[in-house]
Amino acid sequence: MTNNIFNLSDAKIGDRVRVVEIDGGRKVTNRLMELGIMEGVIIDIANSGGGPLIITVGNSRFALGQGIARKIKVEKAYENVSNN
Amino acid sequence: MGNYVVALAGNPNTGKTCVFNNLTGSKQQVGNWPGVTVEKKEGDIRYGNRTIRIVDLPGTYSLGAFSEDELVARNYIMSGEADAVINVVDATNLYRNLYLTIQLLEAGADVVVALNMMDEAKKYNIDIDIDSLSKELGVPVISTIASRCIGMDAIIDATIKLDKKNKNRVFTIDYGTEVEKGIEELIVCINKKEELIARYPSRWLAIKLLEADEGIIHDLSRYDYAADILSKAKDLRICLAEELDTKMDSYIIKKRYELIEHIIDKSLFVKEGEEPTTTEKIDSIVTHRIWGLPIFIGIMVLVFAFTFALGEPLEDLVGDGLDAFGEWVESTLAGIGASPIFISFLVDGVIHGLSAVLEIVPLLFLLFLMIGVLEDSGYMARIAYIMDRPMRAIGLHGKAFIPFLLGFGCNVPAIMSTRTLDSHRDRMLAIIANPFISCGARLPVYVLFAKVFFPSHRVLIVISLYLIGILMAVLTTKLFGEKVFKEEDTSFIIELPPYRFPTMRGIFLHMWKSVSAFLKRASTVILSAVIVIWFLSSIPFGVEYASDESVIGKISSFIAPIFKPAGFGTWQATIALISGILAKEVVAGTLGVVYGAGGAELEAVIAQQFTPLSAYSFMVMTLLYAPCIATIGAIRNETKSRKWTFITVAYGFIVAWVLSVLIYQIGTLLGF
Repeated sequence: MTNNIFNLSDAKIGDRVRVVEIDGGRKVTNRLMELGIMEGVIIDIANSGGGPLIITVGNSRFALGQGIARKIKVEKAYENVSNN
Repeated sequence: MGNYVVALAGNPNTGKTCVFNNLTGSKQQVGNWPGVTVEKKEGDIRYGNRTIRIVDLPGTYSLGAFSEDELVARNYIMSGEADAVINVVDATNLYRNLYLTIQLLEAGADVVVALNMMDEAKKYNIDIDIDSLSKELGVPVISTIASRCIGMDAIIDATIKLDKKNKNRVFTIDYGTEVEKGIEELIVCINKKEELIARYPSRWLAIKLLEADEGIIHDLSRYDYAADILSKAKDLRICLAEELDTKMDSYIIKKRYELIEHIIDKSLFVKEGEEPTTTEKIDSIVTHRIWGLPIFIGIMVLVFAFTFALGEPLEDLVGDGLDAFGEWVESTLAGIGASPIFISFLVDGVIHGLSAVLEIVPLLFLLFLMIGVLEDSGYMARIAYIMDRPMRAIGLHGKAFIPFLLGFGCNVPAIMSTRTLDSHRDRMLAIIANPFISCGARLPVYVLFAKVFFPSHRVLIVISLYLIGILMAVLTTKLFGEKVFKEEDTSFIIELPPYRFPTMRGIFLHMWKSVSAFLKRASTVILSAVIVIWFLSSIPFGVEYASDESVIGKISSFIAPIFKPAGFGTWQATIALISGILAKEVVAGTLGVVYGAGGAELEAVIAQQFTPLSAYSFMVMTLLYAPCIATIGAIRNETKSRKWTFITVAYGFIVAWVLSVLIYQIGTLLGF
């Protein structure tokens, strides 16, 4: 499968993605990094669809606004079979 | 020997405040919502023959300069006031938590790591080699379970031992050849300025300058002597960024994480196992795209229904008790021949004044209990998530909803909690609109009037007032958000802590703290207010108590016409509103004093003095007009602006007056 890069905001529930790049201002980028969200990190999407997303990074869960999720570029890290 | 001062630092939701409570036994608020500790709190403990002062800093993810509470934490650490820092670290989130630890070490703090939530870590199959972690970090690491008070003595012991050990340990991160060269160059310049060395450790300052830390740059830009260093740092930043093909700040953060990864590789072992946790299961329901909002509304309805259903009978009970007590005091004192003025002081002034206020205590207890459960369970952060979409409609994001929710308890902590919001705009909006949210102190007035005039629709009337408050807060946010504070690029991120079953102890501390603050006010501000009002109602001595001939009658008669169009132009109502600025609870208390009646008697007087329409208009006035002194103080502190404090107060008064007048006039026209 090719490495399609897309915005985190477009990820679906159950997706597992890897951060490729954070394409935001320094304030947003630094804030995300301090929370442990940076290049190479694996993110699981627990909730998405219109409003803010809920993601899991390590053992932390975050709610993330659409605006900021659009600035996080990701690629699929793992196809989740059980999506309902 | 002077006090030994220990600061508590850590990420939000690490159980830091719980550690503080365990250590100091203070009645301090613990919340499972990012940013409950919005200012630093202190408590003293005895250790052998010395006193140790523990300072609880706001929970922060880093020592950056993004939000107000990060700055509070950093300034405190850098001030050197603390002899040692206990860094509370969530063992289930070591990777992210160590980021703050590393920053503390870089800042030269003497750190003891309290590796907390070891029980939860076990559930996640996380195994941490404490010795190795301690060796890698170069500081003592103590395993703790704060929720069960395990490891507390060990932390203090370790902290005290730290004091005896040689403190000249230096912690440095290798930032790579190029950057290290830059740091060296800057250090040379910094070391030439005595003023700078006195303020900051040179290596730390050099790194912060390369990171382009806003707080530091802003601080240094105030001094002429630092101008050349600032420009040198800027050149170096550009130079290095080009050389390394990256932004300097991201580069430095990455380097810190590289070190953390190295540390974690050596000391953390996870046995893989991927079952959905309880938190995930609960979240899949309560943060559901469609069901999340209805569930939240349902929970809020339950919260208020529970509060009122249980609170009202209790309130009647307390009210009746206080009535009986007043009568008993009156007859007993009359029996032993006490002077009538003294009896009037005690019964009309103190007892009637306070009983209108104390009646509300059971309701407040329940309200704070419910807010406590929401916070400690972890649901509060989910509310921010759920309310994000609705809040966007008024130009804020979900996190800004929390101050409004806390406002139902008390506006003072609510306004302080705006510190966790990242942008100035969001903070200002949340502060300006907050006083319209009906706090617990306004309840006595609604309850009193609703009981007299709308006995069969009490709950409906009270709900309508809450809704008017919410509506005004929404309109205000929209108005100021669109006309005054321009849109900023704000990002919504909030951590969703794992759900935890609220402990009885935690909830009790929570309630006790809030209610004791209320009782303290009742015994100081409110008591003095009712005494002053009683006094002004009694002089010149000889006039009929609280008549329009008394001093208070004359002052208020002069102002009262302002309120005539709103339907309550009596001097009694006016004085109640004026004294209500001291504390909103006083409004009901003052009516008790100036009408010289409590309980059922007071209700009878009010029934004569007001009509249902003017009573409603008066309740709306009480809801919306100027915030109480404590809230005004909080607004002043948080906005750091006299202008905005004044605007908020004046704006509230105008809105309240206009709305009360509209209600009364339109109501009259409609024939109510």
